[in-house]
Amino acid sequence: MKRFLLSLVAVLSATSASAATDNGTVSLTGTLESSLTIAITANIGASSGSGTSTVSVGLGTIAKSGAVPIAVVRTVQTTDWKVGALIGIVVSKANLNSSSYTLTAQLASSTPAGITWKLNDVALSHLSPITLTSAGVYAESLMPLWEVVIANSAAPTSINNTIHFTATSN
Amino acid sequence: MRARPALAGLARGRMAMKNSIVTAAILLIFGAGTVSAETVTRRLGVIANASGSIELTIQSIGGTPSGLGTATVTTAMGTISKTGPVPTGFTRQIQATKFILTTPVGIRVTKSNLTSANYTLTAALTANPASGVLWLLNNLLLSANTTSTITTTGTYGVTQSHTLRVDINDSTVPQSLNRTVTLSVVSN
Repeated sequence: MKRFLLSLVAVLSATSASAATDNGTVSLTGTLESSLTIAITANIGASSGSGTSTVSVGLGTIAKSGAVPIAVVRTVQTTDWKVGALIGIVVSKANLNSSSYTLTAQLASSTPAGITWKLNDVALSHLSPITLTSAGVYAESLMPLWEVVIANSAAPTSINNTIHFTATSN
Repeated sequence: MRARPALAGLARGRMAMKNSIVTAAILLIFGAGTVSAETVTRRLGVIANASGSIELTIQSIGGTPSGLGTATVTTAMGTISKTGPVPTGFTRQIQATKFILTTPVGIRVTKSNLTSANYTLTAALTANPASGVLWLLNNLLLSANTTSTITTTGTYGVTQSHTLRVDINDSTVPQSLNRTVTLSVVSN
């Protein structure tokens, strides 16, 4: 019996000695922050970047009469005329406890005399923003009407400008 | 009655042993007394077994790591979000309802005095992740409750690349994401 126990101990010892072990740790540190994104869809004229937060639209040469850029509507009136189109704006959130957002818009620079930029029929300015909505629904497309109104008296000029959209979580 | 002679013999044996111990002690005392005048030779016998061992080290990882080349590495990702900057050495994948950060982790296991063809690597978290956050190594879910086997055929002496991944759901509130992955390696 004693010999058997010794043999058993010897076998167990041999078994445990055959496997070597080691340990290590990898620690990651980081802080999660909220994020808010704006995606603009504007498939009008010769656009690029549609679906991202930076979209460029090329209208080419426009006039009261003549060719109209793709997906742009021209409205001719007595003393002025305008071109316009719907643009899509989607605001998305991540890691943010917020039920709605406020969206504002502002021009980057002043417009030439006789030319007015509008969103939803509200004139845009480079001096202060206008509020498009204060109860925007996340992940749903907001479709404001963008227009450029050109008086008959406006001299031929570049109408290039940029609209800055700012979304703020409520 | 038959036991008595045996007991008597045992008693005689103990007495004889006690006598021999006393005798030996006396001899040692005399022996000690004569050492100064004689050359004495001593032998030191060492009995030991060379035990096999393996060593795990982390060689590389994204972020801003410290302790590379050792078994204890800490790396900082800084501030992370779905749309902000991506930590150095990490890749971000944006999906509809979450974003995923991944980084390769170089793990090397070496062996010494060991007859073993390969090793088994397991991993676990020291604490479960926050709600809406998943930690994975080689696409195997990590938790503090169970150990995940990453490989059972690891190659010694080679830095093997594993992918550490953190999935963060859009519904997860801003917070610290700090966690520690414990890696264990056993020779096969």
